[in-house]
Amino acid sequence: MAVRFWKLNQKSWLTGLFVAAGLIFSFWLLFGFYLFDPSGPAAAVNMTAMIEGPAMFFYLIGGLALTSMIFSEVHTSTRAHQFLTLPASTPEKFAAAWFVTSLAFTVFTMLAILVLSLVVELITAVRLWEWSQFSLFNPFSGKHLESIGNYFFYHSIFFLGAVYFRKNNFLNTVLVIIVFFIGMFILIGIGGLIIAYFMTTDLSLEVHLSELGDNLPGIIQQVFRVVVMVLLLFFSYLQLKNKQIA
Amino acid sequence: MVTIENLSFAFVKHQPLFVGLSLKLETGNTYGLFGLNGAGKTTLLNHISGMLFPAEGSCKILGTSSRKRTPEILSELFVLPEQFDLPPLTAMVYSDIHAPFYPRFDREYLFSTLQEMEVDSKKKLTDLSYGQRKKFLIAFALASNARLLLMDEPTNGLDIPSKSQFRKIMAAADHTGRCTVISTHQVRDLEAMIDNITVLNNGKIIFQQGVGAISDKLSFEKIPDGDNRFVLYAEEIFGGKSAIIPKKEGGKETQIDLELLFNGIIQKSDVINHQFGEA
Amino acid sequence: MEFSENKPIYIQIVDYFCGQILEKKWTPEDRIPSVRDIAVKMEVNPNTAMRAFHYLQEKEILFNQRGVGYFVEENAYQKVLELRRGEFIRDKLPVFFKEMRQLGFTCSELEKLYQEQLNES
Repeated sequence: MAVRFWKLNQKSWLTGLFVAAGLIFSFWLLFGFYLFDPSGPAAAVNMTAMIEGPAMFFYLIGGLALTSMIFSEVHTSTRAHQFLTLPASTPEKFAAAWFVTSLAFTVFTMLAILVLSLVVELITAVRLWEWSQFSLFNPFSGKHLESIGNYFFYHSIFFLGAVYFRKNNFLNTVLVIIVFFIGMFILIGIGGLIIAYFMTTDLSLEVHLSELGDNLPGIIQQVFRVVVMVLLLFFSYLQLKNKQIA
Repeated sequence: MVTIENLSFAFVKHQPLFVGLSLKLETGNTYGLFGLNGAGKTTLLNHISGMLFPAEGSCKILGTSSRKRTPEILSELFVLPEQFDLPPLTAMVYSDIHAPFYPRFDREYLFSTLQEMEVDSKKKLTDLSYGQRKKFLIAFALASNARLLLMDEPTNGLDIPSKSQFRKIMAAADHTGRCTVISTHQVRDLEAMIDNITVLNNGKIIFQQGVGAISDKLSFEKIPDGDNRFVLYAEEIFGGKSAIIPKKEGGKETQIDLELLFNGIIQKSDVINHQFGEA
Repeated sequence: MEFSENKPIYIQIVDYFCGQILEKKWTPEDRIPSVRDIAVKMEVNPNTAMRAFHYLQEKEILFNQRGVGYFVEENAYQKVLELRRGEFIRDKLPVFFKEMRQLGFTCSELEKLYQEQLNES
């Protein structure tokens, strides 16, 4: 099943990967390679650090875009029959889509960034004939692990968006997130005002609320995120299970 | 094979498409599903394949509700829609990916049939013409050896030689363990392929009989003007009438005039059904 | 073969088989094409083709050897001849006689014409 997703989308996904890698690489060529004088402070610049920022950005955006499109087959009336009547259970189809867009995508992208980092470092090292600065991209560093964690969380939102919306899933999901946050802010604001009004105290309560949010122990925050994630995935599953042809 | 009981369904509220529709389809038969435009032939097929869910009633394949879309049921089902898009893969790659899902898939049959129908299996499916793609999917459907084949207007978009190829391939296929449903307007293309006639009208199945029973009970004749024999249904033609007449016991069998029969059923279903001992 | 007239397809297949036997293209003990071959050739449902085989088996014109195929019976020619003569008298002659009367032909006139044509060919 996962193989089927891959074969069906191979071309566009690889194109996406190469475009992203190409963009990062040319960006690096411009700024990292040309603008720094080999005899100057360039020697002190960590080239991997230069590319990993944009690379992680592309990982996030690219991944979410790809996730949004994973169920496009189901939403096209002339193609839906192939997915819906494919002899595999809904859990299997669901799990394969999740696996391809989250886990497999992450591993694959991390490897790609690693390769890119290797290329960049090699070019720099050869050019400067200086090997001591060699620092490869490490996906297991705390910072990157956190980004990956974030990706998995956002992924579940966009995954639901991918099953739910018929088209423009990415934009629609972004829109819903924005509306959701605006709504939350308004609600919290109104709620805060009402409470403040009734308690006739000053507005410091609101500050307390946000402080509370910030000071929540990390572990609870993590648990909360996982719960939300599981819920979102569960809704996505139900949506896929009950999907009918247009 | 397929049991539909009391199925009701509507796309738009208060405009029901099916009202208490019941239907049984058995293995070994090739059903022709006929109906006027908009009668819901495609929608009915989508219910059988589990791509649409009944509002009321049930639709089962081999005893399992088709809306569950279990792999066991799906591997015995192949759907050939009227309009479809295939991924940009060659026939080879497409079947590499999809064949493993069908336990009795016959690759040799697929490629020999494609060759017979002159479909280039090295070309991308998206680069093939509509007719070629249709032929590919027909070959794939038969090669899957699924026991239930649902074909929606299979000859639409096929050129004249391809229609003949299609009939030959269907005729050559082993139907003993298989149940095929062909929904079509192209009566003349397919009448020789069908051994059971099912008519959908006004949200119900108003007629379902085997070809054998029909030629046993009904006689299709051209009767000259002035012949006042009792007719069940007749249409004016030059110099007389094309008529459906109750067949006498031991009388000669006539070829079923499917168009005439269809019109007769749509207009006088009770009169015609009465001949089969049904109300 | 094109389907014609007002006969069910299986009867048309029967007619074709009978024709083959009358023309002695198929002789006793000959193995004839399979149900599948006939169905493909005629572009019909195999069940329809099957009916033709069953029909001829009932009339003892063909016999079936399980797993091998269908063969022509020993006295198939005689049987077909009887069958076709019966059909000719029952179906074709009434129409023919009716037209004869309409056009005012007498039997002796016809006999003359018949002889003439026989001599020509």
